[in-house]
Amino acid sequence: MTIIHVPAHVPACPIMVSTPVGAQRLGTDLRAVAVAVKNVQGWASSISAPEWEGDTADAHDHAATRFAVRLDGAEAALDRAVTAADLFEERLAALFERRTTLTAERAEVNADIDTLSTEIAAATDESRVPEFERRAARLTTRADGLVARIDTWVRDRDAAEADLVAALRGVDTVAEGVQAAADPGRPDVAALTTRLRGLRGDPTGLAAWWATLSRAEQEALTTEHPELVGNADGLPITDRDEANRAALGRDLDYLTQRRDDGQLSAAEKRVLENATYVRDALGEYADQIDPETGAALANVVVYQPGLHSGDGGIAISFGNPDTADHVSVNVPGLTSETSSTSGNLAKTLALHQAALDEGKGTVASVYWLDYDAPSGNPINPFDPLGQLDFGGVALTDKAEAGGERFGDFIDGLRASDEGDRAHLTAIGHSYGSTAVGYALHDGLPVDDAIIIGSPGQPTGTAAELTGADVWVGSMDHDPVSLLGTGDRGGIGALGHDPADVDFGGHRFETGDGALRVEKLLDNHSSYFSGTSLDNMAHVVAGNEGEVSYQPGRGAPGGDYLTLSELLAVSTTATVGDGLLAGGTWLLEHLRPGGIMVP
Amino acid sequence: MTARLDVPFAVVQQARQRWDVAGDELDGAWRRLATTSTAELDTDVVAAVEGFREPWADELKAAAEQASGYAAEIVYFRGLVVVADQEQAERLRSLLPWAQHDAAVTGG
Repeated sequence: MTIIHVPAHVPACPIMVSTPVGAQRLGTDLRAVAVAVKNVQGWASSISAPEWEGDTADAHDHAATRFAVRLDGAEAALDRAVTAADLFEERLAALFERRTTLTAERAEVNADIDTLSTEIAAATDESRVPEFERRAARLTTRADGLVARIDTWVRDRDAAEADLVAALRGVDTVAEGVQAAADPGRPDVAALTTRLRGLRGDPTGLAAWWATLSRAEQEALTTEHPELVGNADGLPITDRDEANRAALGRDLDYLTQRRDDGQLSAAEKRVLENATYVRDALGEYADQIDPETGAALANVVVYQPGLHSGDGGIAISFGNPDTADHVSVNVPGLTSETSSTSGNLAKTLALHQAALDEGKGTVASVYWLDYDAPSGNPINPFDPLGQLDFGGVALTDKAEAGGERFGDFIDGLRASDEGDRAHLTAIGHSYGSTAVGYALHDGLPVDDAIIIGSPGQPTGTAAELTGADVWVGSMDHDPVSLLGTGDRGGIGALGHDPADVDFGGHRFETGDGALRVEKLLDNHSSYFSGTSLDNMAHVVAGNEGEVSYQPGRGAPGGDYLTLSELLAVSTTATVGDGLLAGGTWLLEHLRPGGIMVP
Repeated sequence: MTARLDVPFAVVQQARQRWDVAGDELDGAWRRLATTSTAELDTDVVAAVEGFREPWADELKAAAEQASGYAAEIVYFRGLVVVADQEQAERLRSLLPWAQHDAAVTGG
């Protein structure tokens, strides 16, 4: 009898008690604290006695001078802690990826061991012994190698934790904070800030410069100026996310204190409301984990809670646009503001999952609202007194300005992109499609553009608009999509109807939507579902061969009602009254975030 | 015996506001630090985080109280038509920006 040594099963890679998400939350808290401390320390320093001025006794008695010195120790300690937590998070993310690979390889090796053992047990003679011995030897080599790699993984995990523990223990007394403050190697944040400000508007240069900074320098800048780092186009998305989450935490902490003291200004009240909306929206997706890194799936890419007439600016990504194969950025339309983040993120996540399901590679899906979206009625540009609503949607100025900001954002994504150039799709919905249209016309560097529920585009043809492929989703019973000029007229205040056959876009299938007036807004907000969503996912994932089409308006089979006809039919009014009746109905049913939220 | 600090009222007012803001900012900071998330972290890491946050939360809380105290002091001084004596005038001056450190204290 021949004995064949089949290796034992490879034991499992230990579970990660410290997770990337845990490290991320620790880092976020520490950064938020550091931001607040630096705000106060910076102010106190600005009114302190300069080192070269005044006599020592005077300076010693000066409250702000002593206060600034006191906080400098806390600041230095927090800088060290934040930097260590950031490194810890990065190492855990790498360990998470390695563990995923090791776990898959272990399953394969153990399955092969089981197969060999079964075949050996079933053998009735020794004719296959040489083969079994060769396979057993190969399996032993594979198993031993895997065990060694798992051992290395455990050592690396332990080292990551030990390094964080050592760093925190090195500054866990006030005296050690004072020592850290005296360290001549502390980052020169003032000089770094000057450079950062100087490179804004040059995303490629900014990305290149940022990559030369040490981790300590990056973190010192992040907590000194989170609003700069978090919103700087060209910086890595994960770094922007860290800065924006820190700023969000600081805003919530500070403004809640002010509110409780009864000292909130009107502007601060709006900022606190917006911060709360963002916190709550992120909370809804806190359980969504990036399967590659184990970190939170959501990244806060823009956080500007005080901008845009108090509506705030926000961009949140599911997945990391810097590393994804396919990236989409969708821009919402009228009445969108920070308060409508939650509903719009649900649509973004639906697209994200649908695009992932295409199986064409990794995906990142960004929701971008960093422009002043109008709040008026898309159908009736007159207010209840019959005056033209200049804050409404009938004008293109906000679309042009929004398009410019969107262009800067996309340039930033291109600059921070890692590895092979991502396949990038811009998506504009409603008035957001007009903003995207202006950005496209200004040379937006995307591969595909999806225009849905569009009230108009700045050019008469897709070819004039952009060199990218233009995809158009327009439900015939979506009244907003009938505003643009086409073969049967149209108001045209915001430009041309992209669903018109002469526009020359790829009109994908969306269905027409219901023909009842109370459903018209549902139609306008239904593009992120059903066949329309499927087709958008095909485009986003570069799977255009799967797209289903419908004829352009004015083409054979592309018959449709004009806006006034649609409103008349759906409200049983006369055609002549249709526009006014429907417009009035829409005005009455619009509410903050309303047209995006049925 | 009375004394008078020769600085614009707006300077005093702004200093009070800024000390008050500083107090609120640090108040929010120490509260967050004291409750820093330790979920999904190993026990050794949790112990280190707790060892770090406790002294610094105490320090920031003390600093917050100090800043709020300064703001309250300015409110007190501002309530006086004239500052009561030279010592109090100098105390008020010490709470203002350094640019005011040479502001004259008269009377007394």
